[in-house]
Amino acid sequence: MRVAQLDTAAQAFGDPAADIWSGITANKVSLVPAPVAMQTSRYVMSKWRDGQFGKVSSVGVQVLHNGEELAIRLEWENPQANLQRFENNDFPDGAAILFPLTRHAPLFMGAPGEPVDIWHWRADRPDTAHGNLATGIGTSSMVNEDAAVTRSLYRQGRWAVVYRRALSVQTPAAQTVQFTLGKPVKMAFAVWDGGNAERGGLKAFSPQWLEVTPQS
Amino acid sequence: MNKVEIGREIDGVVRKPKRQLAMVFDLNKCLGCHTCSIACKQQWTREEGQENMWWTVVNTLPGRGTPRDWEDMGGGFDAQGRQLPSLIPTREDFGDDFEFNKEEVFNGGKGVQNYLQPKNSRGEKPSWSPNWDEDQGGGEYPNSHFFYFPRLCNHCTHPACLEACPRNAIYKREEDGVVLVNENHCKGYRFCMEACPYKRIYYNHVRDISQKCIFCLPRIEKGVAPACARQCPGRMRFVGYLDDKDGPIHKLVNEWQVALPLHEEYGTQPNVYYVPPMSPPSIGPDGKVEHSKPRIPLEYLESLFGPRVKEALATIEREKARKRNGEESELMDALIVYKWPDDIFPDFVADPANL
Repeated sequence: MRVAQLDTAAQAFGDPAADIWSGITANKVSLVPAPVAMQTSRYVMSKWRDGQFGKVSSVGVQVLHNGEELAIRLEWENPQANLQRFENNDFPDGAAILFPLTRHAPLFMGAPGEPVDIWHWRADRPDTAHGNLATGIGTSSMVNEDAAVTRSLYRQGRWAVVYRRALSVQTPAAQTVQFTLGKPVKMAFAVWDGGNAERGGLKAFSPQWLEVTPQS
Repeated sequence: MNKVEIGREIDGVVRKPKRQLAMVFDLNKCLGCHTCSIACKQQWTREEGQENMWWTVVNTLPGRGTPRDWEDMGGGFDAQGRQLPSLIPTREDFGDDFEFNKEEVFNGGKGVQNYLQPKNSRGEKPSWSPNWDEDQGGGEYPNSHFFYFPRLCNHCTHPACLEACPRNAIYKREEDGVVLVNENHCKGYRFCMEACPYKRIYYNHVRDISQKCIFCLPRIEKGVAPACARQCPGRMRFVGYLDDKDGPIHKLVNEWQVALPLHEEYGTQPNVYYVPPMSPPSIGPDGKVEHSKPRIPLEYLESLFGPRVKEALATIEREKARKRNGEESELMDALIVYKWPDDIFPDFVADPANL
């Protein structure tokens, strides 16, 4: 997917309802439930063995940049918004974008020596995405509270979330993705339906990379 | 040790830590005063997000417990060692953080028209709290009965919480078997709260992590007994290493076998043991004392502590009789705790005031 440079101020695309997004092609990325066999807890494997989770079947992905900042807009269907995290069984809705930090880092949360960078947005803290590093399933660790600025909108049974970040940042390249014009970047996606008690490995995810090339 | 090995029998050997700290509670000495709960609360759970946490709590039995009806919630392991599904108790199940209309009643001039009434964190009239059914118990007059029952994390040899955590954020210490949540690693998924059959794990919604009894680890490491045990006015909380042949824990659990685990059938091998309560005899329909029938039904105690209750109670009665007859009884001396704190937590006698 090629992303043309727009001559627009970042404020114009930070809002998921901004007009500018209606002119950007949306890629429909298919999602599947995270495999039960890959859960790193026997309890989870046992209780959720019927696979009654990860039912969000696709996420619409739009990307744009203005030469300084890159924005990714995700939109997906979620029949009920779950914003709370107060009661013991409250789980907020969430979405994440995963970027490999090495050439062969696997899409399944990375591997030892093959880290991935994960931007995790959640409805209970909607203004920033946490930056996580992971080197395998169950290893994600938050390294940056403000990996990306996020704005979200829940309307007519659908979430829309825009993640915004500078193309390149000072953080060492080993810790976060850097976007260079003309260079393809791979990404993958995950969505959690909090109303179904989805958290951790209970999620829908995209089993294939989406390759995105910001162009000058 | 890999988390799916801890506490499991592999090649005929149960994989467990080098040593295991344990507690024995003598239910015949529990006053139901809640000093343990308050001591723990003061020490560990006064931060925002911990308002409704009681890492240790005292319930009245027979009763519904904390959280409400926790024994019907599932969790733990089946006989084949498979994890059993369960649910997450709600704040209301645990007993919520109450707010009272103190201002209105005490200072608002409405003390005559209105009365003091609590509201839960949803602003509703509460339906439960840790001691909602305190002193109610069971049985019909004149055979009504109850006993007090302190509960806390069992620091299990085969912890269901630890095995359920997909992030390896729960670990069991090799040197003393204490089970801890690594708060830096925990992401608040709460699978531990589901898997724990004893329901002794709480959710801190402010920090988005799970929290529970830490066996007063910072105290233990300085030779000071856990706050709940040190402060217990009834001196009924014994603390020590299970393998310490000279200590009270080993004597009560392994030698005399009068201290029994709670719900052993949950399969987690808990390390808190209970000396079951003795009870006075029943009164028959004709008003006569029935010496062979204890007031607290044996079946009820067996439902908690298993089939060994009868023998444990018989041992206690036998030793009690010896003492009454002026004979020596090592068991009675141990339960009475003549020398405090040396006889009740011999490895943790340091005075916290001197820290």
